[in-house]
Amino acid sequence: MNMPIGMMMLLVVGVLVYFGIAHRILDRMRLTDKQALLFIAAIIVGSFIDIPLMSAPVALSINVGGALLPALLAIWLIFKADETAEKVRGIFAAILVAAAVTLGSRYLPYEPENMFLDPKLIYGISAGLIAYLAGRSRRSAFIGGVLGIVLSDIIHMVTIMRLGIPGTTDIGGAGAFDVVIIAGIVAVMVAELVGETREKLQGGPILGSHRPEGLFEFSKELSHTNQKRKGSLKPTDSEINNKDDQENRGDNNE
Amino acid sequence: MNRLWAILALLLFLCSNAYAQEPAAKGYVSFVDENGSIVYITGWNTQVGDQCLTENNKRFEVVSVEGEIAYVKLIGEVDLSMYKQPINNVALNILRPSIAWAQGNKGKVAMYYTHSDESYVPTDGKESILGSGGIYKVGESFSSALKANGMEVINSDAKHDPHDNMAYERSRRTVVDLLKQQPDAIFDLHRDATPPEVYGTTINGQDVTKLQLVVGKYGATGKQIEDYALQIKAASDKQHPGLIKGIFFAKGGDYNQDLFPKSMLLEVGSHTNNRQAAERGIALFADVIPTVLGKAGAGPNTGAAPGNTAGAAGFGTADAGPSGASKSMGWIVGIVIVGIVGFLFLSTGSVKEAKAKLKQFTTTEFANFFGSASKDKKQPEKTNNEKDKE
Repeated sequence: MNMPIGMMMLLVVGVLVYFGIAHRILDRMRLTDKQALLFIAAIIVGSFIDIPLMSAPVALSINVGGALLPALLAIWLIFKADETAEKVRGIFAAILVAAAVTLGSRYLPYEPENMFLDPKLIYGISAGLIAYLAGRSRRSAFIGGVLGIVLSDIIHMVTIMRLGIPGTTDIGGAGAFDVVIIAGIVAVMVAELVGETREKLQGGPILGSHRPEGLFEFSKELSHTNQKRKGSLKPTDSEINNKDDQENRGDNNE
Repeated sequence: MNRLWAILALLLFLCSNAYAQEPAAKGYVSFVDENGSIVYITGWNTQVGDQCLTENNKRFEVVSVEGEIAYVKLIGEVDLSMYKQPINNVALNILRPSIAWAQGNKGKVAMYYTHSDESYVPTDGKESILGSGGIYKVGESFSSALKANGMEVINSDAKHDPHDNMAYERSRRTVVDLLKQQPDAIFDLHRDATPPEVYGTTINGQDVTKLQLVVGKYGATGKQIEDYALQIKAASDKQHPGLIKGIFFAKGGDYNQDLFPKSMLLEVGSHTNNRQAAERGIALFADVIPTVLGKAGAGPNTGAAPGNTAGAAGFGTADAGPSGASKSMGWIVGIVIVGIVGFLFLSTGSVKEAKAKLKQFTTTEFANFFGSASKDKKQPEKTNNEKDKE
């Protein structure tokens, strides 16, 4: 390919930033840093593998990197959820997102000249908001984003089958750059943004002696609880996750 | 759980019901400038902030929209001579031997059809034929004209109907599929919806339709696609003056142009034009592609501008300023920095806490990748195990 150096560098920067963000998101999905990195590698390799599922009346296939792996991760997250209510909320978020995508795709503007927001982002953002409202957690945002789009693809397939429109359905066919993964990532980012903003507006977590046990502070001077633990000044990931879970639980109890 | 399955089944049924929305023509939008004259016409609605480059290279921006009239203001005149093909840059110098090889091959062009139903009323009878629109015939004409110019063509027959807001997400899958075959350029073929005279013209005594290029300005990579569109217009204006009706810069999407820097959305004529005219128009456009892709050998454009060392898509030149690619890169890096700072502000209470969080990120997170190589020996490995127990 005859490409100027600026263009090549842009490609490299774009890909690094994209996968860098994806890694930070997967890190929050019950994966360790290494597992998240391996998962991204698997998504990239899997992007090149399409599994045909049926050929008539419409061709249906699923891409390993773009849909199968993220969907399996989402399903695993549902099964690993502690409470039944949490599981139901995850599934409910996915169904609501699928409905939003299907109805949105039908009634939102669809010509290049009059779209107001890129569809990839519309559905990611709606997945994030829906999942946050339904489950108030990042994990259900991810589940909603990923499974919602997969489900909307199935609805699309049923639609074209019923109407006899010739077409194909390749779920997650764009691999690592498919709307399945983008919606998952954007959904978690939106949930994170909404959650953190809400907490900030409420005055943030309590500092000092009334601070709940286990809430983590990064700088040792600020926190009452951290001063008690003189041995380990570095946070462990589990503590960060604890903070995560506590925030979620705290939200749910309200 | 049973109730859940019932809801799911009901939803599937409701959503798969007859497709309600017809892609009907709503008329078209006229761009009216400060003097009250119509400077540009395109189908469908536009929004404030959209821009267009007219056939004679005047760039306008939409400032307000009233029904089917968009009021625009002149931004300026674009000097397309700055967008000639780059002939000599750092990368090219390093890659000189492989360039010699590459010039042996005449280039590979891929094309696909996001709106598979788009058709031409006078010849196809309808403006929308689901699954097999007249646009595929236009693509065939493009394909055979490119082949006549010695280029290799991948013409995708993938269908993306119905014509809805998710069509671009479905065609995204086709684009990635095509990119695996390593094309040099990729085109998404459409037709517009305007009165016939907007696109109809005569070039070399032939009745043809003009083409409109559409640049998605939504994503951070929009800037480099903008440069690419201007390069195409510069080359086309030289070879077939009057063939490109203009460039539409839409701010509402990226139309999968984020996936590949040499992606372009083409609107070939309008639904009111004759399809054969559109086929002839795009065949003329095929003549321009070897020049655009730098495969034309000693073409009319490639020998120009010896001072132009990097070109529009490279690092830019003194004349043209920073290139689209470097502007795009600036945007991406800027957005990342703003995002990180914003997140730190929201998730932590103070500058001190934010600093500590950032420090924690750079020490423990990366210690994890490199194992015990970390300077911090207190508990670098524990983090993983602890987390697994969760």
